[in-house]
Amino acid sequence: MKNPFDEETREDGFVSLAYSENKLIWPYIKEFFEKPITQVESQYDYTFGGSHLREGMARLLRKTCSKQLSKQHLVGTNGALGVLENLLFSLFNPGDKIALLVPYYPQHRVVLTFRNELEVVDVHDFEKLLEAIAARKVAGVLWTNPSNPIGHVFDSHHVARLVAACSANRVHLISDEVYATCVFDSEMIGVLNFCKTPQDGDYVHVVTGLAKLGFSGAKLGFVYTENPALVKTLRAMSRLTPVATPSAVYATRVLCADEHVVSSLLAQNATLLRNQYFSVVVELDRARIPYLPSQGGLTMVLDLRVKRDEKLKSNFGSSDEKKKKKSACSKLAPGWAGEEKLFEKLVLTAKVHFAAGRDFGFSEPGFFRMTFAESLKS
Amino acid sequence: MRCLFSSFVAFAYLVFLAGIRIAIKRLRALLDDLDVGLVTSRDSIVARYRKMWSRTDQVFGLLKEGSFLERPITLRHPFIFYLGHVAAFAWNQMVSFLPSTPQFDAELAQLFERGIDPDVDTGKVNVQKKKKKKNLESHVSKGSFQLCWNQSQ
Repeated sequence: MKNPFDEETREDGFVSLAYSENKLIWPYIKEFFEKPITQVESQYDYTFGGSHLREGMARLLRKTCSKQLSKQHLVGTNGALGVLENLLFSLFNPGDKIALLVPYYPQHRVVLTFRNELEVVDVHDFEKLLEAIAARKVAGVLWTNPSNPIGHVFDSHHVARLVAACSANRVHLISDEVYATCVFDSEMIGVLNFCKTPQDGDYVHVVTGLAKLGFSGAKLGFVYTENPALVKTLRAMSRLTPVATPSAVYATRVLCADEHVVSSLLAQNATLLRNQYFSVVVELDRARIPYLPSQGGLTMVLDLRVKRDEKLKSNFGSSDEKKKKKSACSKLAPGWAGEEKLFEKLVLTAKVHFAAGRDFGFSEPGFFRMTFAESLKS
Repeated sequence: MRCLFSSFVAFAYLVFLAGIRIAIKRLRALLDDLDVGLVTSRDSIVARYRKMWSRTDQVFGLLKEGSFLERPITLRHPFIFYLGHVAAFAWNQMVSFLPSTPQFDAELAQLFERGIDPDVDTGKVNVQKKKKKKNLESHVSKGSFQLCWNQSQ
């Protein structure tokens, strides 16, 4: 990025809050990157992640799950999106319908449609999602918990019903839980908590990774599935999209450190995010900018829907009043053109980059995703 | 020691927040510059409330012109009673939940308060149709209320 904002040297610089990265946790994980890697650690290892890495990852997953999890069910590749692409390729045929709860992470749509050629069914409501599953209108469900972009964390009641519906109707449930380590104002209940029978295991798959714990550049993504055929397929596919050994080494140093170290790192992360989120919320309230409340994740949604004066359209009110109202009416065009214009003005005039809501499938214009886990300090 | 630590933490957050604070400030300035009024939760409640009254008007708009003083069935009050009843009932609920809510018109509130429902304590049916009809007719001729709720805002 050219001319980034810096409080001391470039106050008029560009502020980018569009990418969901955790920049708060760096001081706490820095030490794990300081020790150099050895020759062995720079060479080939299992393409789906070494034994220690998967053991460490299973330990991390157990933090949001009361069940015993085995590293045998974990398959790693280069990044959570990469692993999701392989998973979709393994499970479905082109043209299969996959339900996606709106608003969604834009890249999910890309991964579903671009190479896998799956058909996306936008669902606007949790109950409608369950209906679609019960009617077997979809072959799979891709859902994100905590949700991206809103940061909503689903409670155990919702998660349990979703798992039961998918398993009973033999619909594959892919739960993207990359933000599970970033819940700061709720309790994270993963789908694996409700995965009890072998049939549940065959149809429920969790996508996770380390990006949101500060390791975004390491590109480590994992699938946890108890479906043995799927594990075998994904392991084979990981040869084309392998885990990079140096990334695995750094991650293993953190995940296989003392149990106390991992627990305190997670607690620290939640505290950092909580404090940062509530400080940002105070700033937003002070500036009279509405937002949707977040419970987890690194992002939140600003509600910049423009007020349209209904009275202008009606026949009531004197003409003087109408004129006054008109002058107070926004210079932004209504609808998606207005959102685009606001986005353009934000980037070009205000030099602030938020992600526009249209890409996330919002049904109304005016929502912008803002990353709050940003330190903007090198 | 703890105090020192917490002030360090507070300082750290100020540093973290610097860029976001700037972003929010620039966003506010841009919205002001573009004269953008944002939809608040109060606006959406008011919009829903208005929509509700429009729908009520639509339902009563189904009646033939001049038939407000007719009865749907003999056991019921004239249609106009139900037009007033929706508003009076809603307002009376507000008064009971929020005692500071002023009564809009004591006489009309009482007139539209109850239909022909039986008294919950005695079981006696409250049928004072003739009296009520007379009252309603006199209020209509006086023009005490409008026949469309959304126009009164």
